[in-house]
This record gives sequence, structure tokens and C-alpha cells, in this order.
Amino acid sequence: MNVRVHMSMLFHLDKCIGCHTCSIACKNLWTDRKGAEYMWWNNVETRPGTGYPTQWENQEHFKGGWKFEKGYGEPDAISLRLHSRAGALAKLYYNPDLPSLEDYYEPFTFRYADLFNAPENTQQPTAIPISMVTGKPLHIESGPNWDDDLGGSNLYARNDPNHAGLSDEVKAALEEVDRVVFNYMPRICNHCLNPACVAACPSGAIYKRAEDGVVLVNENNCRAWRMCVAACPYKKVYYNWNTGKSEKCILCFPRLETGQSPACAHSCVGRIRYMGVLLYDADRIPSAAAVPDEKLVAAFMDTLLDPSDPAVVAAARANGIDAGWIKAAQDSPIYKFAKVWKIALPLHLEYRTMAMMFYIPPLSPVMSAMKDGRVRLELDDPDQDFELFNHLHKARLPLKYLANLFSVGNEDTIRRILRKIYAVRIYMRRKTVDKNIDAATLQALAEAGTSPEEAEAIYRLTTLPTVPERFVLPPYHREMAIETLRDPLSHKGEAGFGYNQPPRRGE
Amino acid sequence: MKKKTPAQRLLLLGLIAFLLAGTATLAQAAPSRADAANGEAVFSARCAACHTIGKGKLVGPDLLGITTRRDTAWLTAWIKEPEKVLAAGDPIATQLLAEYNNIPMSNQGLSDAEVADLLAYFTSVDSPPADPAQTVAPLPEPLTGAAKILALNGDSDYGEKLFTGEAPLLNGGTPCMACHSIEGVGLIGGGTLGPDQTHLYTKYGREGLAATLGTLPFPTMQGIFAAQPLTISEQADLLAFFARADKQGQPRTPLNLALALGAGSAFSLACLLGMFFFWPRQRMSLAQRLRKNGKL
Repeated sequence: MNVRVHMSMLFHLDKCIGCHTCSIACKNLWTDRKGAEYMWWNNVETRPGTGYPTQWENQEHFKGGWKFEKGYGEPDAISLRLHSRAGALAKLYYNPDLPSLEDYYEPFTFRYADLFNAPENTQQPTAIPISMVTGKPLHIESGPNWDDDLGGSNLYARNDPNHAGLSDEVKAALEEVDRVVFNYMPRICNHCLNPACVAACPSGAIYKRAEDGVVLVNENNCRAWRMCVAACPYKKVYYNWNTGKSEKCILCFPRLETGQSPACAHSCVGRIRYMGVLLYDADRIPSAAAVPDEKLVAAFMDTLLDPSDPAVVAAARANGIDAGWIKAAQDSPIYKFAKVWKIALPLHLEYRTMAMMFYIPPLSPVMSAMKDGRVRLELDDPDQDFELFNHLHKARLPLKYLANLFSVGNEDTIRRILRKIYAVRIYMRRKTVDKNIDAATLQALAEAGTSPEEAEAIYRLTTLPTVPERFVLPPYHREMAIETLRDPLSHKGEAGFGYNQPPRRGE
Repeated sequence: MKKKTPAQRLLLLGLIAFLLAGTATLAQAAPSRADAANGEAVFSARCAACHTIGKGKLVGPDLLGITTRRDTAWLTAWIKEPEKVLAAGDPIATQLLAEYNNIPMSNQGLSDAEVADLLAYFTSVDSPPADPAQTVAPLPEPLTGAAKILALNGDSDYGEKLFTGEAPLLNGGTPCMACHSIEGVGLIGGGTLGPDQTHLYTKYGREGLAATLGTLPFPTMQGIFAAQPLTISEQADLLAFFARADKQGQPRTPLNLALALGAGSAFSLACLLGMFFFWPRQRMSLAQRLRKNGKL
């Protein structure tokens, strides 16, 4: 057992209101620079939709992530979908699988000076849009979330790659006025356990750092090959056209090291984001990535270790993990949602990069379809409450759609999670509104595989968490890392300001 | 200070004038003393590979009577720096080049003194001194290197091995193939520093080639072979090999440069036109396809 630690984030999609505050916080902090205008290390997508960049989940086109190779007697294996070693050499100077600027969007601003400098006219002057790349006037065709407010749904939502496996009937229903549905999905770099960007980089410039699993680009070593941009299935590595280097989400590690949560999580208005430590077994990564699709979710969850297990704790201590980190892992909200309550999953495990950011699938809005000549809302409360719990296939957001996003197409996994969340809702409604928990409610809890105590705990962490409960940040102990490089006692016994010595060469 | 008398002064002045004049005479006389004997030595070392005196043409002309045919200034310039005289378009040099198979005389790197010695030697041969007692009695003709090689019957197969370096040169010289190539020898041919030697035999003639192989009188080759010359048997083997190699086909005509340039330009233009045709058909990005066609 090779125990390591990982900082993970969890997105409770049921709480996301799509305000994009996270994106703006990230933009202002990290990508408000020349060459980075089009980058959104954190973006929020309206789903169903094609996302940003357009159709990033279409791996037949973009060739991101890993490909499963069945062993037929030999052990199963995975290989980069992007290229082999020889293929990488052949495509070194021209990589046809890169997204173009049109796939992201051409960043734009407005020429506000026009408002003041326009000659006198009968009409109000307008600030015309200009490109932030060329500075020339531009016809805006796309933006970082063009699907928002159903702005292009007939075009974009209809071409969502996650519609795969949906029947034509269900697809048609998604566009009916009284059934139309969307939810929001914020995305940052997934800081994968098996990152394809790291594997594809010809310069070895990308690495996953040991202390918290953050995947970083070493800007000194980056040679602008851009294989990472193509290889990342989430399209979360970006190429800065000004500096000629690749950039990506750094999980705000300077904030984490000073005890603050990442800017996107800190600024989240809906408080949908949780931060916590997970312990994982690095030895299990190869076997967990190279399994057939149907076993992926289980194999992935098996790599996450129980931080309360004495054997795990002993192995972690043997691996040099600080006790503060182990304590943080035991209190981790991510561990509770993903492993204890089993209602959170990472995005697109079928890419086999083993993403480490988790999502709680969203519930569908109330249905207003007619039944027996009555609008659904006119039904009795109990009927309404149990309607979706018992008939999840009627949910506006099709189970298959959510399964394509979070559970490698397995609807049963999604059904189990949604039923548990609905059961918690029904239970808490009975308890706080009706003050009467009936047998049907208890039976619903049992059917959903949960108990009143667990339901209470899920409810508390979902709706009433305090900041320290949402962000369980470990002590980074930078002083310990420094001690491996410098002796902190080297100046002991010296007076005050030390000696006046000229700096040595190379320092 | 005691004053000098006019007679003393005159004596001093006369002494100075005498000394000055003597020095000037000495200085003028020194360079004009050319040594015909040294000239003969230089001739046999550097020139005899291609030239004879009174024994007929080899690679270059017979030099008997050369001082009467050409003036001294021309000869001096030509022996010193033949490539410059040729480059200047000298009519005599141009005519000679055409006459002798377009093989230019190579610069032997002789000093001014050596050139003067050579000219003195040529003059002494052409106009023997009046005193017959002083003439050098003609020695019995020794068998020269070239004649020895011609007498030997070389092995052309071993010559090929020497050429390719499969068999080492006895004195440690570099194999010919390092700088020269011969059609059909070696998978990718030989080096290109020196000229192609496929038809060397026709170009130099049997006697000329035999003489050349003995001294290899080319500046570049001198750097390698002056200290480690070819042995007599190696020269004979190589001669036989060159004779065999010469038999394959006609000398290749040089590539028509204008034609090659024209064909290259035409091909480039065709490629550019092809690109112009395909340029608007580049793969559109997914987003562009979606916006244009409404589907993928």
C-alpha cells in the first residue's frame, strides 16, 4: 500500500445557481493577462450543451484521455488516445487534434471610447465589440458559456455529446416547452490521478506534485509543443499565445498553502463547493485505470482509502504524511460524500485519467406535466413527494444523460444516488414541516439504502455547513518542506541581522 | 672641441660614400643569383609528374625550348599562380587548357626563389653555355617511376580494394574513396571533395596517369600523400583499376543547370497552385461546423 494525499474539490450541482462568480474570481486572480484572455481555468457550463470549448467531450475529434486496450489473455492496458511515441514525433510540428480559437471563442471587449468620441448624431452612440486578440471590430459568435439562458440551445444543446444512448423520443421531449430543462456544471482542472497531459508532454514539463496532488506546468520547461492541450480530455490546459507556454488551473496552491480555500470555492455564492483531503493508494492506480467500462466506477472508488482505518493511517505515517493531513482526511467532506454516503462521482471516468474533482448529480425540477386532466402541482403533497422517488425515469433530466456524465453510462448508479437524495428530502420535509415521520417515509429511506441518522448528516452537510466544515484545509507546513532544503538553525547564535556578506553567485 | 681639418672632413665623407655604395651593390646583386641546379631538383620533385624536357607530352606539354616560346614574365606568373592567370582569361593559358583535356595546371605553392631557380634551369637547358666542358654529361637514362609502373602488370581487383579502402594503403594514406567516387563502386558512391574518377583514364592518358599517381601533385592531395606516398605496386594496381573503370559507358555530360532550375521552379509553382486550390478546404473547427451547418 502506497498511501498518498490529494486535495479534492466537490461540486454539489443541486445547489449551483449558475452565477459565474467562481469564473470571475478565477479570471481576476489568474487569467487577466495578455495571451490568457480566452482562458477560463474555471468555467460554468449550462447543460445540456456543448460546453467550453465547443464539444470538448467529443474525444473522437479531440483525442483526449486514455484508450482501453483489452488484453485477450494478457493483462488489460491503456494507451494515450492522442498518439503513440512515433506518432508524437510525426505530429511534433503540426498537431491536427488541437482545438482552435473558434472552438473556445474569440475573446472580446467593447470600444467604450466610442461612447465619448462619437460625433453628434440623432442616435445614441454604441460601444462596438472588438477582439481582444487583434483589436479589430468583431462579430461575436460565441462566448465562454454561449449556451447560458438557452442562448443557442437548438444549436448547442442538441449537439451535446452526452445525448449518446438517448432514444429519439427522450431527445424530442428535452426540447418541449413544458419539459425543457437545464442545469449548471462548473468545471476546473480535475487534477487527475492518471493525467494524460503529463503523459503527453514531450518536454516533461507537467508534473503532479507530491504534497497535495496538484498538477502543475513548469513554465521554465514548457516548450510550447501543446500536446497537453490535445491530450487533456477535459480541455483544461490552455496555451498562452503571448508567452508561448501552456497554463492551467493550479488549484490556487498559493492560497491553499496559506490556509485559504481556492478563489472559486471561496467566492461561491451558492456554497456548492467543498474542499477536503483524500487518501489514495498509488499502487492501485494502474489496475483501476485499465479495467473495462462497467467496472470503472467501483475500481476508482477502491483506490480511495478509509482514513480511519489504522492500517491506512500507519501506512500514511510510514510514507511521511503529516498527522495534520491525516486528521484533515478523516474530517474531509469529500470523503463523506463520495465514500461514506456514496452520492458523489467524478466527471467522465471513461477517459481513464481518474479525475479527482467530485460532483453530486443534480435533481430535476418539479414536473408540471398533466395527469388525468390535472397539472402535476395540483396533486396531493404525498403523491408529489414520492412521484420522482418512485418514477425516476420520468425525471426531466434523463438518467441516461447524467449517467453519461458521471457513471460511465450506468443508469443504476445514478438512480441509486438520486433516490438517496430524494429520500433525504422527503424525510427532512416530514420532520421539519409535518413534524411527523410516517412509515412510508421510513420505508423510502430503507429502499434508498440509508437511515434517519445518515439522512440527517447528509442534510446538515448539504444545507447548513459552516465554512470550516465546507473547507477542511490541512496544515501545509511549508516550513517542513523548507527544512529539507535549508537548515533553519544555520543562523542560530548569530546576532540580530547576521553578517554583512555580499551575495554569493547563483543565489 | 678640436676642429677637424678640411682634408680630414673630405676623407670621412669619401669613406661614408664608399660604404654606402658597396652596400647598395650587394643588396641589388643578392636576389638575381638563381641556381639552375636547385631548379632541376624542384623540377624533378614537382613538375616531372606532368611534364618532360625533350621526352614528349605527358599530362602537360614538353617544356623543351619553353624559354624561347614564352617570355619570362608570363612564365613566372604562370608557374607561380596558374589559377589566377587562367581566371584572368589569358589567351595562351586558355588555349593550353583546351589542348590538354581541360586539365588545369595546379598551383604547386612554389616560392619566388624556387620559380627563379626553375626559370634558370629552363634557360640553361635551352641555351647551353658556350663552354662544352661545362655541360653536364647526359647520364644513362634511369627507369623512371612512371615507366616502372607501366612495365608492371597491375591487378585491377586489388586496385579496387585499395580504392575502396578494403585493403589498406601500405604507407597509411587515406583510401581514394574518401574523397573520390567511381560509378558503380560502393553502395552510395564515394566522397565528393575530389572530382569523379570514372573516366580519369581517358582524361589523363595511360602515361599521364601513371606519372600523376607517383607524385599526386595536387595541393589537397599533397597534404595527405606527401608524407605517405603510394608504393610502386599500389600505383600499378590502381592504374589497372582505373583502366577497367574507364570502360563503363561514356563520360557523363554535365547537368544542364538552366533546365534543372526551370524544372524546379515549375514544380514549386505547381505545388503552390495546388495549395491555393486546397486552402479554402481546410478542416473547419467543430464550433465553425456547428454554426455553419447546424450539426456536426
